[in-house]
Amino acid sequence: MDIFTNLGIGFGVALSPLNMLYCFFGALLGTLIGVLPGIGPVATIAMLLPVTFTLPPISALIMLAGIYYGAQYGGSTTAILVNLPGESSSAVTTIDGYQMARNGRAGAALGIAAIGSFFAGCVGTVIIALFAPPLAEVALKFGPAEYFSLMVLGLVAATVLAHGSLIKAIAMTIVGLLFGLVGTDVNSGIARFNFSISELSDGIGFVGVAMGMYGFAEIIGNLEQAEHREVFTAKVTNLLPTWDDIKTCAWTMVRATALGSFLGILPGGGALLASFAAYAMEKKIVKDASQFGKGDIRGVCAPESANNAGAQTSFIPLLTLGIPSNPVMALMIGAMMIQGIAPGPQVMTERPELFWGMIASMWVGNLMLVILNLPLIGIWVRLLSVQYRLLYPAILLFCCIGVYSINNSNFDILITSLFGLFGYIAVKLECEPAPLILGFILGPMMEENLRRAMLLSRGDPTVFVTRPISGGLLLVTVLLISLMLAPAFKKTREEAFVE
Amino acid sequence: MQIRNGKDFWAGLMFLGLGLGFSGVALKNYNMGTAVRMGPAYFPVVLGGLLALLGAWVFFRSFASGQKSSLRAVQFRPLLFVAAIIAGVVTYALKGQNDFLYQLAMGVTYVLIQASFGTPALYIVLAAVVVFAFLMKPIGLLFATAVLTVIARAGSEDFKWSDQPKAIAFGLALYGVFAVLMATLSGVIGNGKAGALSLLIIIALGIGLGRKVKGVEIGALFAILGVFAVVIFGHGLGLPFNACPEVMDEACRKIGLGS
Repeated sequence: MDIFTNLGIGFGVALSPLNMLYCFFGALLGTLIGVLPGIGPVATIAMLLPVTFTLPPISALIMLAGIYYGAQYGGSTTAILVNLPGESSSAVTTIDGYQMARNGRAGAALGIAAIGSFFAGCVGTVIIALFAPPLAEVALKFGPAEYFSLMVLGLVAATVLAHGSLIKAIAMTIVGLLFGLVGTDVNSGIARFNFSISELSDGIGFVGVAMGMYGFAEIIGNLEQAEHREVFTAKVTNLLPTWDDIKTCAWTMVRATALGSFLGILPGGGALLASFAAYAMEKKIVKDASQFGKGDIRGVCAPESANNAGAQTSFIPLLTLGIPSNPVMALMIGAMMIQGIAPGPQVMTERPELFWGMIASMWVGNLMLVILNLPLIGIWVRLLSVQYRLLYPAILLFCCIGVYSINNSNFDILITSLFGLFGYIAVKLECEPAPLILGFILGPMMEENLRRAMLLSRGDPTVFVTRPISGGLLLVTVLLISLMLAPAFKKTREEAFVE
Repeated sequence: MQIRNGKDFWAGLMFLGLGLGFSGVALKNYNMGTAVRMGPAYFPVVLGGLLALLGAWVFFRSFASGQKSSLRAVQFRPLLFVAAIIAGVVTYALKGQNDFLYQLAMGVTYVLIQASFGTPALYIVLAAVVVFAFLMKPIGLLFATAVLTVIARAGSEDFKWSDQPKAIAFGLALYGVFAVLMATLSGVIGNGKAGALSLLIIIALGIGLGRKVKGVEIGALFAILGVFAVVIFGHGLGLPFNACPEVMDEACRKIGLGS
């Protein structure tokens, strides 16, 4: 079969000593920043972007990808041992993971998180290998109308999965789209909404937006609830879960991986949404859910498998369509551009070694991570026993330097501080930041494709419905919306996000 | 009419304001164009209108909501906010007049806006970031890191002002050790290796002494962070920034800390 020859090429690239080294470095660094609460893959990749210029393209992408999925592994360690999400996608893991640690089962929780992540990572890799080529072929037929409809679908999907009020989530998406339009308009060359501030004529940097709304807001939140935290350092003894644990979790792992993979493919999906959705689904499905919230091992396994699966498959929209589904993928686009590669369906045919090499490296990286995590857990635990009061100034500094390094502009740091304030207020008003960030990233692309589509159709808006693929995508969007408005689903959704 | 859901009330107002603001600015300044050839105003006007509608919906919903929540969803200090607006006007007036005063006024505006909302944790952390942004270029990364760390730590519970002179002196002394190390080592083993070695020594000194001597923790912290940032991000990753104040640039270059 063709796929095996392709994967063969990929492994040939990924297993070269140099690329193995970068993969290892990326995965290790990713785990490290995943363990540290408050600093995530966005800040790290932003800082490393200028360095990647000097690397060969494939090595650069392998390393950056490693940081992203490595962070998913690392985040769970902090969630379980300190009750802090090391990574936002591990936020749900804290619920049951921390309770397990309090019951003296920290080792089992860490073990199942690693096993679940590895399983999901393997499946995710296979899914990319299987689905990316046909999707890329479809994507080659995409015109502006299809791109526009796909982005509408992604934005709507992101709001369905956001917490709280649906209208507020949609409103936040639009706010994001509008903020995304700040800067020079490509078609007319007019600088919009820049209030004659020259730094704004290039637009607001999304790294600043993401870091302000997630990173800073998280630090402030942690400082506000200054409750005493107990770190379970001495008690991590037996890292392997029992055979019974694995049996309990087997189906959970499969279900969560399937859900996570699916959500990762949607533009707007990815690790964060996958983990929340998987936890909520698992709680619904299992027979006896009474232990959820009190240290049920399935409550650790489900979100950890799902977030890793989602992290892997969120590369699909990037590699096949050139659409970033989250801030990390938007940075990956930046990394590809630096190397002179235009992301999109043509990458697979024109640069097969790059595409398949990256996919193969993900599997290699996941294997490294599971091997790494077992012996290194002691080091992470020691890192976590560092008091938060020593940690957060460091995180603030790294975030500032990360934002600064994108454009060498201290104006970007100021913008980040404003979005920190905005993120804080939004959370207090129960408006989710995630849809805003997705809207922000997709805003300019959406406008561009809308304009082109309307120009091509000579102003006929029906083009979005009459072209089959575009119409199909919009149909799915409408189905999603009507599903959301259906009373039965509305109730389930509200219940699912009560936590 | 009684406001039942304070969060919806404010969120609705916020969306309404943003929506009207964006579409208003776009309508006034940019060309709408037609559906075939959309002008720069088209998309923002449509989106802004939509946002305003949703905002109005959320706003009116707050009067008949089943969920109750207080109108004081976020702490707000009106006096500081008025001061922020005044500072903003002053900033605007100073633009193009005097660069130093302009920057200063802008910084004050940022801090005042942020101090109008939320708990101390919010505005102290953000103020530290704003100050860092302004100081990073003129006083260099080492000292800007010190300022960032001290201000940010003022937001945590165990912060004591009385400890600070001692802590800052300790941190600056470590910077001095770093400079001496670089000056002696960089000529012998090259900048890169000298930086790495100095970093290890500073970390060991900082952790060792920071634990033994009472009250110098913050100094040890900023010294380690500052040296780490300069060595790893400056030397290692090659990010372009000054390690030392602009006035000391010459001296810095000599000991291998040039930008």
